[in-house]
Amino acid sequence: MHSPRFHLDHRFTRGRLSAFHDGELGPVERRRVEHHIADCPDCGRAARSLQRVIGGLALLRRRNRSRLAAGVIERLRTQTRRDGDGSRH
Amino acid sequence: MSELLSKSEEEALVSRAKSGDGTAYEALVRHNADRLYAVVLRFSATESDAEEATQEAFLRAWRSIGRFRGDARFFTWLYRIGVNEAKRILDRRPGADVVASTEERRIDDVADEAPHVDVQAEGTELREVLEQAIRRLPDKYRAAVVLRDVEGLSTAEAAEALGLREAAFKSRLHRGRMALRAAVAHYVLDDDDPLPEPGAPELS
Ligand SMILES: [Zn+2]
Repeated sequence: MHSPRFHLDHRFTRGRLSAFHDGELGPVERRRVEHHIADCPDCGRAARSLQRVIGGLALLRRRNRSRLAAGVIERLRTQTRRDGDGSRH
Repeated sequence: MSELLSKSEEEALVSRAKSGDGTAYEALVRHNADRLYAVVLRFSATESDAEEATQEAFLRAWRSIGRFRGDARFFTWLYRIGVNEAKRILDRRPGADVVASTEERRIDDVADEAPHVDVQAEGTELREVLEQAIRRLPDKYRAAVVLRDVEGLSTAEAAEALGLREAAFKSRLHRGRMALRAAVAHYVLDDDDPLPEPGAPELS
């Protein structure tokens, strides 16, 4: 049986795994999460797998070297010319 | 031309663009087009929809650049316009689902060609299941995860791009991440970690 304190820490930790990963907890909160993660296999597992998920997400970043910018610029220039013809001439 | 501009370079171009300098705005387009497209693609049904949304976002941003306050980064403002354009286009296609094509070349593919074949294969598999899991996330969670974890914006920048206070943004990010973790649990557990009990609701 776990103590009521353990259950409170468990809930506290579950809601803060993201912030813990991002280093966004204050020192007191961070220590509370660290201690609980060391004591609770569930939360330890959750923290480790969350870290892998976030690491995996960074691998999804991609840039297709497209010709999109050229197309946008062409449309901007066409539009500017048209607006110029319409309003100033 | 697609590296992220420094804050001061960006401010200088934005300030010239606000006074009507089209050349400065074109530089902003060149620096942000591929980045904006990558985000917008995750809120679009097809690649051509994503291209349309990206183009419309740039045209719209140019028309309203006078209203850009400049207390946030230009690209966060642009992302907000782009995601709204993509959603507007998606709304015209009832029943359409977002696509997140894995076909495109990634700019850092070369760097990824690590010598260790097993690690590479494992990473590829995780990438694929994550792509699919992201596609199935509800919009608001997908937006938080894509901007913060895929595109690498700071918490403040991503919150700004979504028009949210940081606390609200963090809560969405946490829920989105936990939902993804549940969806790809098999791929991210240690060998000696038993599987979590099934059916534990992570999103509610
Ligand atoms: Zn726990």
